[in-house]
Amino acid sequence: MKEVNRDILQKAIDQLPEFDPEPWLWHKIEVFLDFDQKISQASQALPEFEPEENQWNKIDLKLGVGNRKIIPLKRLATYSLAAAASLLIIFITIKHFSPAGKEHITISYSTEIKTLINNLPSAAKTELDSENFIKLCCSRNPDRCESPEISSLKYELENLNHQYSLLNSVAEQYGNDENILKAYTKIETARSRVIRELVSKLKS
Amino acid sequence: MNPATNINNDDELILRCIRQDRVAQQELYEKYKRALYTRAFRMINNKEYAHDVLQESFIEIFHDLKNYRGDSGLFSWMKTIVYRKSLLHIKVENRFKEYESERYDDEIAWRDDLTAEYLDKAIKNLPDGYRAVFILAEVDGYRHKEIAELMGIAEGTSKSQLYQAKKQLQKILHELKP
Repeated sequence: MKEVNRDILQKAIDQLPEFDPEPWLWHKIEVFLDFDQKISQASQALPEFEPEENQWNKIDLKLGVGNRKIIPLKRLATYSLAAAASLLIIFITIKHFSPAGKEHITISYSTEIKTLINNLPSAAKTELDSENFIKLCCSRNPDRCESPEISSLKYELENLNHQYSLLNSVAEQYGNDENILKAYTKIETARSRVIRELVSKLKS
Repeated sequence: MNPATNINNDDELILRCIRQDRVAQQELYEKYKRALYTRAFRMINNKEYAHDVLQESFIEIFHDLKNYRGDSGLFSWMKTIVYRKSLLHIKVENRFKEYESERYDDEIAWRDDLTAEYLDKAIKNLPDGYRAVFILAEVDGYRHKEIAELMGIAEGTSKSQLYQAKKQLQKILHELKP
């Protein structure tokens, strides 16, 4: 593009007038900034909320399900056959080589638990007994208590016990008001339910 | 017209503005209001809307100052915010015709008696799109690549629009001062 007298245009541009905004504009901006500041302060002071105590347990259970290895049917059949053969060999070996006189002292693990359960039919009558029953079962058969189902319930029970003790300390400090009594009832109801579930699962 | 030339140290002012120091924010506003308002008004050609744009721009400036990296200079950075908002206001991006294959052979001769007063009047009479490109390219020295980016158009369109704007300006100047 050819331009003649370009310097004249440049001179005119350099001398173009400037304009001032109205004096009230700053006050308008200030109002916006104040509002912005208030919103930002208020949003920082918003309350935070805790998820339910057993939320992690739920997640943990789901993660467990996802991570489980799926064994193909063919391989499963092979494993089962191998396990059955091993058990047969062990059984024959014990039959042939164990001294006849010592047979009566062989007690299987499952029998022991069964005996314990049978001896404690009234153990679940009170929660304390039930909790002792759970502890006893888990100490005798830790594998059973490590199953996701039972460990989840145990975790829930521990949390409820913790909440119970926290509530106790609050009640000691501030006395029992209506809300604290309501919270006691809520925790106790939940504890009873969890204990009942645990006992029934351990008995099954 | 460019306040960036006589401003030595904005760094401290910027830091205070980031800390939401209202006195510093007003200081920054006072320092640049004239230069920025002039740009908004010249681009939009309407006092009321230019005030709106300046207000929106300063709110964005104070909000985004924490992200300002300093590579372009504070005034340039603020000026771009004002122009972007002004362009949004006049919504010129869809008004352009493509002149990619146009030849710029016609000579543009500026009159010897051209003054700032007449040029200002002529700029006001330009259609929005021409005015925007002329202001960005000639008054504020933006490159076509930058104009294209700012306006969301092709670089070629920016060049052809500037050519058309100048031709149109000549016509208007002739009408204003035969």
